[in-house]
Amino acid sequence: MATQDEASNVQLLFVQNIFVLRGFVTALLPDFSQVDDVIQETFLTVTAKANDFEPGTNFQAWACTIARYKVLELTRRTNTNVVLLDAEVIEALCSTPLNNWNPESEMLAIEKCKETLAPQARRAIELRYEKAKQPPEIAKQMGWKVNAVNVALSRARRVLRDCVKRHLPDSNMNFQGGK
Amino acid sequence: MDSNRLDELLDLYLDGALSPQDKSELESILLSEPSARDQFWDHAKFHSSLRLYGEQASCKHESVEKLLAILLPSKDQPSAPIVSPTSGFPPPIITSIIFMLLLLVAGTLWFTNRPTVQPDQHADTEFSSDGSTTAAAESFVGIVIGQSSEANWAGTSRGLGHAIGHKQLKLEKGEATLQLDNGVEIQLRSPSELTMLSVDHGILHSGQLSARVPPEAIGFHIEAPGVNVVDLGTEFSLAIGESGAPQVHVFEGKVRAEIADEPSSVKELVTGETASFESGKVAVRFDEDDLGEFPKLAGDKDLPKTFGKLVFLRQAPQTLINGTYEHDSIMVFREQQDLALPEQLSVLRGVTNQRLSDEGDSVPEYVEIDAGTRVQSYLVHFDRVDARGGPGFTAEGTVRFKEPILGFIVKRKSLDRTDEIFRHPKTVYEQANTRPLEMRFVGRAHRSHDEVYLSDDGHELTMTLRGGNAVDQFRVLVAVEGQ
Repeated sequence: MATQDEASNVQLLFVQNIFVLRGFVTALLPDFSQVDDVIQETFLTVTAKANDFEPGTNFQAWACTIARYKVLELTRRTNTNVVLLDAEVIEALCSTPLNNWNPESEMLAIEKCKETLAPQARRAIELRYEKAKQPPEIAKQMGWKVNAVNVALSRARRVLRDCVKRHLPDSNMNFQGGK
Repeated sequence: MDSNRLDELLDLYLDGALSPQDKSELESILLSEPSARDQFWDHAKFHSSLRLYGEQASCKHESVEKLLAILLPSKDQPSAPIVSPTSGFPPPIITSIIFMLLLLVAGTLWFTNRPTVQPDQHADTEFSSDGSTTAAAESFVGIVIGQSSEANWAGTSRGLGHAIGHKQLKLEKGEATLQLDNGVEIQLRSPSELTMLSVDHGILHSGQLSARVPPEAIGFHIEAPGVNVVDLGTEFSLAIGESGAPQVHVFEGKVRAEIADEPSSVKELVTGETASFESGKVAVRFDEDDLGEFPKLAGDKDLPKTFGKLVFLRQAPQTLINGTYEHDSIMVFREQQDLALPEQLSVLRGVTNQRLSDEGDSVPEYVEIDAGTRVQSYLVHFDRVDARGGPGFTAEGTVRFKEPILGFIVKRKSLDRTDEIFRHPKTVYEQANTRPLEMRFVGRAHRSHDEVYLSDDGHELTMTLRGGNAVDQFRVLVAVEGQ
């Protein structure tokens, strides 16, 4: 059983890493409404298993693995048809160190860059990220085919990433190609 | 590793649209390539930032700083854990509150305590006291989209169709129109010297400019000897003479201007006002006779609107030969304004997307345009930087025309043949047989295919062009007003 010091330590690490963990869980679950449930359960498990964590080792990888199990549990419990990557792949991803991610700067840049999107692309992005709709729902709302929505979202994200990159010259985003 | 294919798979994955075959392919790439895992995280982090932004945009929370004090232990004061590991799981309502706080930490502080974006944060260059810059030459902030016939550039400035980087622009004769990547348009009147430190921040060393600033670029500012001007949503002009005080004029909207290093001199100027700035003295006047002194941006309401990495050139460029332009934007320019077709033409319409064509529902639709139909023609040209060698680069953009799009010409033979009909007389055209787009139904397509969409209303073309060693070109035919 974890001591209170151990619990405090992992909870602090959890808060410090919450952007990364949330990014990871958001990447695993297309339905954004489930993300906070998984983060919540991960937090509780991390707290309960605090004595399993060895200070100085990779907290991100440890918590990430727990989060992945929570995603699996959730999808089994709710019978959600989510395509999850294999455990071996998740493990490899979780071991990749993530440095210098600054979501606040990205969000500020996104606010500016969103205006550069064409009207339909902006609408698709708003439905996906502000209204938390999945592509099939967006397709219904916009009168498009689902594949067309996927393409539009992909394209709009690329435009936004390029724009955000220009606003954040020191960005850690590793865009492919480039000037 | 095919980076474009990985991008495609990751996008499908993030939207929950991976097929079992795609999933296997993605897993194989992620396991075998460390750089692919970095690319995964780039996408995942940006996806998460978009969601955080979306949450805040749709639901603004109250300030949470006071709650943070409870949640986060201070450095010198150890605190008890939020949830005791020995007390079992707390009731759901308590954990919900805790997680609301955690998520507020993660996602809402920026809205309640958001930092102001300082234009200097965007600059990836150093500006030294002698006016020189040390920016990387390959970093671009915009393109020259128009220039008068007598325009003459000096130094490294190269004019219409060429990139604007961080080097000093020198316009010796004529006028030129610049479009920055944030949508700001600048009209530069010679003799002028201008350095853009970033899309938001420039230095006018001498000469005259006018700027039209869209709402999303408010805060754009120009420094000049003796005066600093910050846009507050406007179209304004700034003139620096060899002698005399710098002048600021507001065509429309509002600016804030001040004498450099004299904060007490700050003035907000509104539509129609002109101010001159001299040390210790700001004189504001309202006189329509002033207007001729300042360069004026041409109206753009009838011009095609562009979004993303696509710019509309106000004039046809001199040449379209591969390797001419060093930037990564798609360019569109008008070849013919009103031309009656000498013969019937078969043009492409409809969806031209390879991914959609997998469903069998995107068979390209060809339509015939009758001889005698009056059309405007536009050429789309993409010639990415560093085209010879190196990884591919993708540019995406949209152009919206006021009149309906009749169709577009993609195939090489059709392009070559219609060059004779539509070519702009002052432009040298690329003749290489690699000039057309790579699309499944117009030749041998591969994974690095190009895509062009025509919107349902028939006025908008959205395109994804993947640059390689050759240029990408296609021609768009648009109806003439009143036709």
